[in-house]
Amino acid sequence: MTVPALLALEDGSVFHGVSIGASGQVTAEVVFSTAASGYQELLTDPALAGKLLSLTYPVAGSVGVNAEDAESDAVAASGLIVRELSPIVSNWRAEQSLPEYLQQHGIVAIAEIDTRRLTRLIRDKGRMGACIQTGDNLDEAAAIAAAKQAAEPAPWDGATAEHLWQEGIWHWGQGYSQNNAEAPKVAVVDLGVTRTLLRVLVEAGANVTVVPASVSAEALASYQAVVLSNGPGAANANPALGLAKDLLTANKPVFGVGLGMRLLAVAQGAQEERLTPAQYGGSHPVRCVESAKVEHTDQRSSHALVAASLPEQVVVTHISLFDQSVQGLKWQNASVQGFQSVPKGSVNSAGADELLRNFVAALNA
Amino acid sequence: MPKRTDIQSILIIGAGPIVIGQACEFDYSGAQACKALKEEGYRVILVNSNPATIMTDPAMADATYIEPITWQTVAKIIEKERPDALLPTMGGQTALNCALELERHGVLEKYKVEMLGANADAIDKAEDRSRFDKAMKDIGLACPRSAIAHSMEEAYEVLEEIGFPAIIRPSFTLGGSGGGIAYNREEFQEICERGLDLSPTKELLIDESLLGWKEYEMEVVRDKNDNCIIVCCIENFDPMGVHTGDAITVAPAQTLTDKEYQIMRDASFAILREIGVQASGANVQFGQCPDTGRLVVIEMNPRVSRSSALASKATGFPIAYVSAKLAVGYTLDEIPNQVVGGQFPAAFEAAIDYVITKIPRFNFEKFPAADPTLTTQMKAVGEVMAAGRNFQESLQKAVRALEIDKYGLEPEFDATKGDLRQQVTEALAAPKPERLWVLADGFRAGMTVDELHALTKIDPWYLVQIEDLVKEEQNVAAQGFTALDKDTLYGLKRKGFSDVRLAQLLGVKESAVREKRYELGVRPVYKRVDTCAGAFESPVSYMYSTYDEECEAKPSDKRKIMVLGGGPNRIGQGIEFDYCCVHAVLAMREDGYETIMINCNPETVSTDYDVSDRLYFEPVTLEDVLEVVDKEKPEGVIVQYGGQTPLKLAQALQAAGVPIIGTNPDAIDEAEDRERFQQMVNKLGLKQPPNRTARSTEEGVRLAAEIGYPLVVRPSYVLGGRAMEIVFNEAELRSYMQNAVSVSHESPVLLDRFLDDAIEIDVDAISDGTDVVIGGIMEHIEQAGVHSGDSACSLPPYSLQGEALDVMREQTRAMALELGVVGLMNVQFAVKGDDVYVLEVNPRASRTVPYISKCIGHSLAKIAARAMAGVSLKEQGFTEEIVPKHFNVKEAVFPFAKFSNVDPILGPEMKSTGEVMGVGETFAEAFSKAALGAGERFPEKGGTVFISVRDADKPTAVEVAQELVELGFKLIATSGTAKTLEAAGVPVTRVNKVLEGRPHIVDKIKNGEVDMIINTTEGKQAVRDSFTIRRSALQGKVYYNTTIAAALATCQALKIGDQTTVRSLQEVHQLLTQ
Repeated sequence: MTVPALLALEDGSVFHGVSIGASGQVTAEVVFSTAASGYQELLTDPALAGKLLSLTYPVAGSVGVNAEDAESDAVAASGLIVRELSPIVSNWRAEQSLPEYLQQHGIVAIAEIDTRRLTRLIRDKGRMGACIQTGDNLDEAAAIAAAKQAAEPAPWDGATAEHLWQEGIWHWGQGYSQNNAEAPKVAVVDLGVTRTLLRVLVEAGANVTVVPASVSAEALASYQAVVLSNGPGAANANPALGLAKDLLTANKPVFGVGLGMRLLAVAQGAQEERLTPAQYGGSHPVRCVESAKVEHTDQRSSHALVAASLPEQVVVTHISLFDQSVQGLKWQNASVQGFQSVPKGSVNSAGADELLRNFVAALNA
Repeated sequence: MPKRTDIQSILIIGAGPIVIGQACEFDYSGAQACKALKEEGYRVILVNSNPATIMTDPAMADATYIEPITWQTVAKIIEKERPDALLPTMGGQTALNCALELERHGVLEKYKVEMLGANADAIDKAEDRSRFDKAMKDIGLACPRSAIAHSMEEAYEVLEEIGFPAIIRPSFTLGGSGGGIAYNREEFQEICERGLDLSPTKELLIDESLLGWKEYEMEVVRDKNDNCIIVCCIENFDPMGVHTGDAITVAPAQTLTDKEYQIMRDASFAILREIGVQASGANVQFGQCPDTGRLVVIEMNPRVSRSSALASKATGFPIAYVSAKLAVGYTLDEIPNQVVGGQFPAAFEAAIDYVITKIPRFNFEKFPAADPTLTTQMKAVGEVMAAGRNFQESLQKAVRALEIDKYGLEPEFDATKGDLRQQVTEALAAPKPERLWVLADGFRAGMTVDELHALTKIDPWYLVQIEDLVKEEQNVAAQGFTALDKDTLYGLKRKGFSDVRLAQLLGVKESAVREKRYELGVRPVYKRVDTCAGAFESPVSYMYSTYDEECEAKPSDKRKIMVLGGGPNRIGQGIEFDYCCVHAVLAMREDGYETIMINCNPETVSTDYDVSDRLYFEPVTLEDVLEVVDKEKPEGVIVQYGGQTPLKLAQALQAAGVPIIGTNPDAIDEAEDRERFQQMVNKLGLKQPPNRTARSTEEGVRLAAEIGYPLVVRPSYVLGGRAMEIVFNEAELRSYMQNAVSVSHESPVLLDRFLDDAIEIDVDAISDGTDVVIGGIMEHIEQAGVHSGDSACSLPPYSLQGEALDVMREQTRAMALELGVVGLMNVQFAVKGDDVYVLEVNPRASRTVPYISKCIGHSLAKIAARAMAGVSLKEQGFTEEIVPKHFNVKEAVFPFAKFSNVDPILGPEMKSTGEVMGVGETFAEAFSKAALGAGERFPEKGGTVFISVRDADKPTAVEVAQELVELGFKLIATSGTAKTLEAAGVPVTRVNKVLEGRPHIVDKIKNGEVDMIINTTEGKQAVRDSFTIRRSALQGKVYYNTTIAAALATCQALKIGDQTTVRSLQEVHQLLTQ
């Protein structure tokens, strides 16, 4: 039988629906994604940690979930909000249904609500604390009160020890390509790393090691280059700020993705601002300042850098066509660069994928 | 970078007449292209032979040529207009082929005309199967295993490698026409022969069968900076094997993971780059093996298409408009996205938060001899689109939008007549138009998703949802009407159940369900199509209904007029009615009203969100219209422009208190109801052919004897001449009454004396209730008995003169006033000798309104809309009939070549899909152009003409024969006709009839020894006997006439040969005012 559920927002709005995940109550900021595919990738992306994810596409779960498409071991998002659950799973790669998966990972989720109404509320009102409750004893007032207390996400608690990453991109008929031990050694600092980022680097020809966020710059001396991954939350609250500062003087190629890019800039005094709405969609248009080409990027950020606050030695290379936010940076006189959006993980995608390919290619040159 | 300033004038080639595979989606794209280029200040020159289009409205371009789309004619236009550039990507395959011909014949080079959007090499690379296959291999993509054949010998060699079933597609044909799937050698031979014949390059692509694979279509746009976007990904409900135009399709893709989607997206971009699409929309079709994920590229079109129109409507991203801007040098980031008020540019990929379903509309009932099996050759004549917040809602809305008298998943089979499971299993052996409903019956018969998947290969994702709908139907029927509570009803509405279907299941009237719904407060809300899934505010009011929490309609309190659209295209109701609806909206907008459009046809201009102030993309059914009316509360609703679709609703709408403006719906009933109409005719002292109404076969036979044969027989209340026939004797009448229609007291059959040999006339007029102005008088070229939509006609009349015309003018005026017409009216007359008979009166917009408007330089639809809104004809300054001095001929275009075994003879049932117009100083010139525009190719002088005519036509046949001989043709004829001609001293050679032994006439046609055929018949047997003559003429592309009147007109056209002059509409209209 269906279990009732509700979603309450800090502005007092309440939505009644049904539970499609674990039972219980969860409170966090609610964000939406306009991507019509890739719900599993979003749920497991550490950048979604501490967020309730609402999907604007109204039907979720059609292709189920599979082990290959997870971006991390965990379901990172705190909760899921959809208009409707697909009545069936249908895809040749599916291994499990979405509700089973949510229950298995203890994720609270609600369906049968007007997610477009929710999107419009978030769009018009900005950051929105929210609370999902499930079960027979729903308490609207308590849920609204809880929603008002929604906290910012904690920094990602990722890799505890460094380890080699083996997989490149999956190819039809061939499976995953493999890490080449002879290739240039690249350390990826796990601030909330996704498997796609690691796969793109391996595919580009890097020998990839994942290192914990607590690593020191000295410990990275043996690597030819460092990638700071994306992750949840703001840069100025992240303990890796010190590492970023040290890397900027380490005279080695550094690439910051999302949070990683912002850490590098904030380490030199730049400021961040909240994005309204926070961006977790696909196909976000970003223009390259130099070539004027437009790339369609996958965004996973609640914050962006304030352009006016950027340090002098930094050049803005990419700008969002949605909100004019800073999307790419290059440090003059240093082989340091950053890109706000995350790679899509295909062999000829532009944007982050292409920049990362070029970054690795330069190491191989 | 800004737009190009090195070019000043651009020629756009349209798609020509509506045919299967190429419909009004190209009017939508062409109209958008004109708008996009005109607002940039370019001089736009347009050529399109189709007068029923919005794009050929004289205001859309600087010079509009309603001329045949042949390279020779377009070359004349280029010579005259000297455009700097040519945009070939807006007019479908017709425009691409014409552009390639112009290139091949050196015309573009000679006049220094640059091709924009896609160049000749890119077009060729995409179209030429072997080049395309190689290109795909070069970029690491797979195509189906396939090979090319240029002869039957080569075809058999290919078959050795590929095996059965084999898919055969001829190169460069419309809508894949001539293609098919062969399961055995006989079929293989037949399809290959037909394909080799139809392909202009005598080339076949023979593919490995991907039957049962999943099919996807990516709508892609690329600009000159190599910015690429996917506008929409469309997934086919029907797996591979059914032409995508015949398939139910869904957007976005439902059963792809993001990984698979990204692979397809990347591949699409790589394909556009490799083919060399420089600045245009294009589409790429993929097949995917459902078990292994193996992906193959099926084809790509370097132009806008039917599916790009669908994608534009599905997302709110105007692909054709943007493509035209890209063609003149803009990049995607320089074009504002108007749906979000320009908050960000068109360089983005639309996000949609609803499910789109497109269902094709078929017309097989018009062609009983055609095989309704769906294959790789397109057979649909139209389509509908619906939006919902889930697949079930979207599907059920699309079903009721189709207007095929289905409001949900009604049973297809009668379970009491035989084993349902067996009926279902047999029906699913091959895909047919009714497959969706058969699947529902499968579940009713207790079949499982697995069983039905095994039979159809349709993805279980869809089947489960159909199964669920069937279960819901069973639950609701079991529960009963009184038990229907708010939650249940709300749940059912969220799955798209219509009031009508619920009423059927519950055994109550539709109105009872509606009242219950109102009582329980279960009402739809309207959501916006905004390209961004709500992430940005949209100033554009493009909406669809759903059952959800928040309504975004926000109706204004302005003065508003609502126009009800015509739904899906079908034979008898097509683009002409959409043209009228668009003009009504334009006129009302110009007059300061807020305009509201309701329609569900994604191919049309009326469903462009830019045309009306507010667009509701909804089925045009009573339920859906009443809800929008209730939300908007318009001051007036126009129902007389969308064809039968809104007219059928008129009385119910009026009863529900909807303010219908213009002619009272009761007048429609008065005109259509036989007895009421007769009373009016008698009152006004007019003449009708003798007629009777029969409620049984015996009564019919008795009444027929009273008025005499031949008779036109038809069921009462018919559309487009549906099931209308001419019978010549009692046996034929009995056969008709017993087999063709089921006559009963409730559905009587109408018998009219057939006026053989009469001249038929169409008159369109406008009335404001006080004054009546004739819009145009059109003389049919084919005699009475051929449906007015299928007959060529001339404005002004080319043979009738003087008094008869004035009599018709006066009678039209009298009837308009008597019926209280406010708006448009169409009358059909027959003139026999000195007598004028009224055949039919339609107090509504007719199919000829756009054609007349092009002839006389005034929009009748606009004038009539204003009259409906209360502005008199005097106030509008439209008080006199305009009779052009030049001649305009409209010619019909038929789909016979698409359907094997269908007789291309003309009769009282309409069969044409589209029309063209020819403009000339003389009737002969106009007729010649119209025939050329319709795709006819007149015989070369010196050729052989075969003549075989019925007795009644023999005197005229002599006249025709003499003319032909004078023109240098050789004549052959069968015995009867030959005897007549010999007696008249016309030299003729006898040829055997098919039954007289070989070699006979069909052998001669097949051997290419006949260049033109004149074949008129009467009576069922004679028609049957001559069937193979017409069919082989069609296959051999031999020019033929099936009426003697058309043969006479042809003689006139043959006399002038290709001595025709191109004239723009603007020039022609200027002459009218002089």
